[in-house]
Amino acid sequence: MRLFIKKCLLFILVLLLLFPVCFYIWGEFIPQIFRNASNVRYIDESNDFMRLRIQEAKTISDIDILVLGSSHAYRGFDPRIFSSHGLEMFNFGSSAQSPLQTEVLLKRYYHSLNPKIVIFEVYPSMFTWDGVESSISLLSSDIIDWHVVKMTLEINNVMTYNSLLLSFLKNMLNKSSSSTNVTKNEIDTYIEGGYVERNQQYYYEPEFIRSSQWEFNESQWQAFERCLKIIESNGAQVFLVYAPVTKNLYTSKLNNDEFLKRLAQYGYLLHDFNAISNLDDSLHFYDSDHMNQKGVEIFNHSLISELNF
Amino acid sequence: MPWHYLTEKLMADWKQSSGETILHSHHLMFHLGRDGVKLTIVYIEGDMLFNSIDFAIFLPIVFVLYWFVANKHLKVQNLLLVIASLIFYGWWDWRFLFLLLFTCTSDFYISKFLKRTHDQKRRKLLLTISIIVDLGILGFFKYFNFFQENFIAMFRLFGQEIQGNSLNIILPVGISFYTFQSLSYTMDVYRRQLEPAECLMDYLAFVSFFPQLVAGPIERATNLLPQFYVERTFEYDKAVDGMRQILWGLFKKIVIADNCAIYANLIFNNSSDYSGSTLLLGALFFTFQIYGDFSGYSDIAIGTARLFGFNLMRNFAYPYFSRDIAEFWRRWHISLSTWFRDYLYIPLGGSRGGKLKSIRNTFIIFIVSGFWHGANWTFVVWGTLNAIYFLPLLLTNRNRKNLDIVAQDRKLPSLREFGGIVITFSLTIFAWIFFRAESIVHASQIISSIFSASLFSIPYFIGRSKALVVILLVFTFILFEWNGRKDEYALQKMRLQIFRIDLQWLLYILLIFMIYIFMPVSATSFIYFQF
Repeated sequence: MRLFIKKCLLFILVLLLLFPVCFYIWGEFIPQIFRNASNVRYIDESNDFMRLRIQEAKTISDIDILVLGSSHAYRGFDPRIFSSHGLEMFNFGSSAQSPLQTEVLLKRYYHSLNPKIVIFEVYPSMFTWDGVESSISLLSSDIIDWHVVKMTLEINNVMTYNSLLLSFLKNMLNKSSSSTNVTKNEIDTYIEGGYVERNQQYYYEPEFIRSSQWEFNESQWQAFERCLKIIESNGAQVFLVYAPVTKNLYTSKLNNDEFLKRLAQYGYLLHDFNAISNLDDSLHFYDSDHMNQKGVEIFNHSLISELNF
Repeated sequence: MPWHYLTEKLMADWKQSSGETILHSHHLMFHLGRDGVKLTIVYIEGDMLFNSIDFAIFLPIVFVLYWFVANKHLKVQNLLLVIASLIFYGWWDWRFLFLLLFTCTSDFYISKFLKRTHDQKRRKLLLTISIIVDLGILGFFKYFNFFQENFIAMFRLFGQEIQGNSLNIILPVGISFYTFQSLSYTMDVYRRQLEPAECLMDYLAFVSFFPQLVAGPIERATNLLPQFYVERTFEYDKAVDGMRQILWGLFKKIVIADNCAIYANLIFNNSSDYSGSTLLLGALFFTFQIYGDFSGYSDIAIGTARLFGFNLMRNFAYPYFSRDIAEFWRRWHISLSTWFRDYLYIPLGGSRGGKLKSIRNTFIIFIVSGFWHGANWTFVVWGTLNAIYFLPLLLTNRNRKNLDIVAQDRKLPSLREFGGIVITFSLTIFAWIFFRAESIVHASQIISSIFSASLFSIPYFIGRSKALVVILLVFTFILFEWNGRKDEYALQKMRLQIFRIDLQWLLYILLIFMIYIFMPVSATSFIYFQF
């Protein structure tokens, strides 16, 4: 029995020593196709260009407007349009960014960006997510510090833990590719200021979307409140904006009102552009969620005039 | 109505009525009835699955208490096992503990009376009571709604409209397994093949023994019960072997079954969207899912029992390498097949009494076996199909032809053996379609799509590239299994040597690593828990 226990403990020790080695080999040398089938994820070049966005955020300060949110933010707020109105805007949105990731970004970069106005794009979905997808992108794109460790613990998902471990190992061995020059992929182009423009010319074809309700994740609401506290700390003006999605998608959600009521309780200016914009599903969107460039232009101009910037 | 819409609706309904949240649709068991789908909750998140953190904490605690605290007295060890088993079972739903205790107590005392009574009529009566009590409980929890719906449907055929109230019955986990185990004990005592247990504690320990309580192997009292009477001494080699078998079981379950399940579920749940070739691939994924899932569970159960000094019966013996269907049934779910052989087939007369009787008995055990798996006609068809497969072998007296290990002294099978394996495997896949389908109509739709021109198209579904990796994993797994086919389980004697240096631990670490990186985001259920 003693021998058995001794050997078990020794085995656990060897396992703990060899495990990071296996992990690193898997994350660094195994072809992407195998990695994607496993729950070890590390994104070298993501479709949301997050690495480039973080790189840019490190070089700018004292901006007029900071945009936060998911893909609805980084594909919906074009800094060039804001610039034509004399406003310096930086878009810090990323794919499936939930308040848990926004909190990390704010803790790291908010005070250096020091915006006068913050537009928080509040797509209800971001209050329903577990936060895994965006956390992987964030962990692969930036440094590992206490903020992301806290975020990972809060998400408590094996994929996020693995991304944290792999990013940590890569950082330790200086294998992390934190800088990038890639500004284009097959369909998207990164525009200075954090925006991503879709190059393709195709339109949304309305499909049947089954009616359903938003099912919220309370930890995202708590993170959202913490984000608002950070934003308040430098006295920036906050606008909560529900950017346009297709009417098809918007009307399929049966509890939008409940969501808007809950947001209104925070006491910030809340603008649901789905109620006021007259964008057309077939003309101004390329999928049910995202506007095409024509839609973005109409939305951004109307946003600037609506909010009196 | 598509399956995923249905599951969402049922999950929402359940939340509304019970306040409990079901996080995954595989926590539900459905059976199709006249009016659509009836829902039975099998269990919800937080169960003590073998592949859960709960069990990873539970097992070492019980192990340490068993060998370090309770090791001085046999009775204390048995008591500890009973308490641990009740905690393990109660983790699902403590209410079902009463059912388990009731079954055990009634069979324990009936057996005591059986021993004392010499009057054959009274003995028969006692056995009948035991069978009625055990099967009555099983029948109510598992088959009530099914029979009710079918009666209503039958009356409707004759123009009679009757109303029935479907009950929202919760199916207790593992009820079919422990009922059969307890039932076999009474029958053995009745046949005077076994002395009844003197102490209720020993009997409780035997029926509720946690490694095999919820999904077998269905132990015979003649094998397991006497092990509770004798002092267990810790054997290093046995414990190491147990750990190894647990590791292999986890690999089968997590790496093979759970990853195959992703694509099997995707394809079966949306079968009308897919081509014949994709559906065939889906059936193949399910074939490996069910094998990895169930044999993986059995390996973990047997390995865990070894850690406590017990030997459970073997439940799987590389069934997919079988050369004919009779061999398949000697290698698949052995504890259930032999149960039906010993307690149904032989009492019915077995192969004695001519060919016709033998055919009748074969059909009976396969159909009953199908029905044992679930209250759905799909399982009955699955059982019947296997009986039909069996028939040619029975008629030509070739059902006991392949008793040895395939390619016993060779690395590869002969062409004849290979042909036999391919045919048996194909027949098995075909039968699994009924086992997995939601209804006979669903299975027919899948089969007609498979046997259409679209069979020759390239399979297409979401996540094809990831599925390729899973296929590669399955292929590697088959090679491992082929290599270890002479052993009790594939990892038992597998050695990793590089330059004659024994790197056994490295092999285990690699397996653990594979399990970790290919495990699903949340622990998934074992298919056979629902039976």
